Amino acid sequence: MSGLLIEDLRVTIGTAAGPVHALRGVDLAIPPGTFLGLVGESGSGKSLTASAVLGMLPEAATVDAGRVLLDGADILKASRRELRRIRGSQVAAIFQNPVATLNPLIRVGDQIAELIRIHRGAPRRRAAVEAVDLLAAMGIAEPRRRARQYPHQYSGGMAQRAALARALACSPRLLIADEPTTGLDATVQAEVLALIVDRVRAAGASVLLITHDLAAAAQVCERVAVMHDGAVVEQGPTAQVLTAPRDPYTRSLIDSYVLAVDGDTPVEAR
Amino acid sequence: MTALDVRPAARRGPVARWRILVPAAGLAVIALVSLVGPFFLVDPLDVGAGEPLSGPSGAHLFGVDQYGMDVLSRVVSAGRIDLLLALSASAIALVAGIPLGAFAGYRGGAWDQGLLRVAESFQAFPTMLLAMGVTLALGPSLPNLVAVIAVVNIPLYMRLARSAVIPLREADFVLAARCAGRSTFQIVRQHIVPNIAQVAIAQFSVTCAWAIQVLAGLSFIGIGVRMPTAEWGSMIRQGTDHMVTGQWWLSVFPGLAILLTVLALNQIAAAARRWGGPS
Amino acid sequence: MRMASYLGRRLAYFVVSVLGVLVITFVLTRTLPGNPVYLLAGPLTDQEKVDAATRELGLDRPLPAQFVTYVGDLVHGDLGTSLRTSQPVVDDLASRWPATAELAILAILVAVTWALVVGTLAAVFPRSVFARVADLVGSLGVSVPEFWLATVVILVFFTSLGIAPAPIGRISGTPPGTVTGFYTVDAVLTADWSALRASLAQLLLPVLTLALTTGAPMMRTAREFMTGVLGSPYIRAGRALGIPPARLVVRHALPNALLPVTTMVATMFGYLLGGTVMVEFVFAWPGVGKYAVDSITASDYAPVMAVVVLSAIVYLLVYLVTDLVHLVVDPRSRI
Repeated sequence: MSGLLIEDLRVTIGTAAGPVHALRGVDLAIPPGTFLGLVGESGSGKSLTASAVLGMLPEAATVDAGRVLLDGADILKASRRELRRIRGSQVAAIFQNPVATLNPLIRVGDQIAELIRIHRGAPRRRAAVEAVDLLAAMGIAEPRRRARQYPHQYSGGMAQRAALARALACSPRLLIADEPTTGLDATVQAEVLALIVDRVRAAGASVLLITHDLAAAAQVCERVAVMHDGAVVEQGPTAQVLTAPRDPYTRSLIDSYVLAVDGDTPVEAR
Repeated sequence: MTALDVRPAARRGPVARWRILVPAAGLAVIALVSLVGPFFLVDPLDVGAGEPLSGPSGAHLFGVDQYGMDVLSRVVSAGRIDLLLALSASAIALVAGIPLGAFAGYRGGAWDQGLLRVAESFQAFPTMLLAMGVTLALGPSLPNLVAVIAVVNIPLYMRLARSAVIPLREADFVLAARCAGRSTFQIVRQHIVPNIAQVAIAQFSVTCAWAIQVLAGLSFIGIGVRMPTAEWGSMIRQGTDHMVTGQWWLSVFPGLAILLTVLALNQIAAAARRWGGPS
Repeated sequence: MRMASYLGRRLAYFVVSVLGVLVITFVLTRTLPGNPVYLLAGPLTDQEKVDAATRELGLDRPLPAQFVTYVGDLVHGDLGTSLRTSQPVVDDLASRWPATAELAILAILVAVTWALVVGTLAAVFPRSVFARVADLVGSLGVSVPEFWLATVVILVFFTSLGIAPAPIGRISGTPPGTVTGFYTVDAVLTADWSALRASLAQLLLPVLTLALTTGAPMMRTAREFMTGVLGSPYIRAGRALGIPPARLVVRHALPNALLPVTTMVATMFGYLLGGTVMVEFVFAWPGVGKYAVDSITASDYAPVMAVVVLSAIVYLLVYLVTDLVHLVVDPRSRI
């Protein structure tokens, strides 16, 4: 079995007020080379699910049940050393607020080259050349000059391109994009989304796109999963979920979205 | 907002409670002993209390110093002076610094800049050395010592109040008061001072701790409280030479008294800050 | 361009601060007890002689003019004469500053080292026993009076255990030939190994004392900033991309935490100067601090005021240099 398969994942988080059942049985499947959009409001458990896939659950979290299979191997059972190898080379991630996800004191090119050297053991000079090539592949003009700049000299959209270059530096099989366009300008959002689709398709990898933006998910993902209150309430092909939602929560989500976009238009998705 | 940084809730509740209760109780014990203790102990200035330089014993729990004075009596009675001076110096600094800083921050402009520069000039000195200079200039009397420690600390309170007031300046309730025609003074007193009370309390505890350290330091180098009056810093100085020859009780006990008092005050400040801080 | 204007503002700020310091010390010296007029004219004199002395000292001139003279004297190195040593204060300070500098520099190096290592480890392993011990050491180190700690380490390491030499100054035996005035450096330069060992032995306890008391607040600050940095998005992203933890801490987190910590180091330097005064006294260390305390004991105020004003200026200089280093090191300040 290849791709990502999450089976009945149950996670509890210990807080001062007592244990909180943060994930109550999450089931997800992402076949190789496909895009899955994971939508839901904040606090529904989307990002915690992503943390589980990265093997980066918070210290206070305990896994009560379930498996997270990446190409057949259970991430929840991986040792620290295995996890370090898996992260970056098999599964990688980009996050929101891209400028902040880059180290402010290190040149952007060096930050990309660093990953190439860590995961592929490439010599310093070749890694630096590859980093510039990667920046160019992400559509960044003057990549040679840009590689020598620091993150604060990048705009949000450019920083997300650089972050994507970092994430794809070691050709992971799965990219987790956690709210990758949140906080960017509307036009830039579309560009970044298009770039992700283009680059990931070219690499033949799959994507877990975490977003509260239903439209974004619908635009780029073959399949959508809807999370609510720590559980996946519905998942399936995008068109089916959007046009014929079976779960009442999904329906209300679609309604609120359509209403927010255009309050006068009748809700045709029903 | 992603929920990626799910962290365990900040440790509060019972844990936070002992963090403030233990040092507060410790401080209360120290204050009580200093206040009441002298009534039950021999005269701290009595040079015939015991055999000079005799070590701790049943009759003299903390031993006897080189003049024959009882060290326990002196440590306890020194507590009165140190706590009283530290407390009054900190109180003066607070009462003078907070309104000054609040005024500067609220008025802005030339007033703000002028007061800020003065405060910065004082802060440009290493505290202990500034205290040395001012004490020398004024002469080392007890009121002057209080004044010195207060003066050294006023800039701290000014900056604290100033930085707390500046964001409040444009706050709705202040604007409303201004529209209602209140004077600057009234607004500062009614709306701004209560708002910074919490931070000020934490700072007050820190200042008291500092004041004790500075006071003891000045007395140690010979320009603070002088012999024969009992004071922790001057007692340590008095015992310094005897440490080399092994009569440790002269310096160790007053030093422990400073350490415990300052520790309690610092812990209270830390807990107060955590208590009041955002969750 | 932005950098140049920042530089200009920072230098202007330095000048203003120095002026502020000078005004304060000027006022202090004018209010000092022991009116210099009577010192010059003698105790039993008539009004005429007093007036003459007043004129001679320039004390009849307006205060601003006096201030200019005061600053002029300082700039020309005229810090007055010590009544106790009957030497110009400048000469006294010149012969004593290497002792203080050697002690202070070594203490700050040791303090920064342990503060960074312990602070970082405590931030990386926040729930460990190590972090708890660090917490305790930090609280005690902040609260302990350094002059008392100095006497306690003498009691423990010299009187009781006998593993440290007697607190009798910079060296027991003959000092190394003078090159820089720093005994450790001179000993190495002149290959005088017994002098090196002897001077290091003498440095041990005072450095330990100062390093503990000045390092404790630095350690807490380092830990706090490190904790903040470790929780930042770029560390999380780095982890998600498989950068090894040790590398994340050392290469990514530490430099970011170091920037604010250096400001703290500059602040602590001022504290260190105050602490050195008292620690030197306890260890009979023949430096500027002991000079000041001895002068106080002899009611000899010119040297004390000189130490006060010079230490404030040195402190401001250290602060200035720290800010300038920041400017160079932090790419965000460059454009």
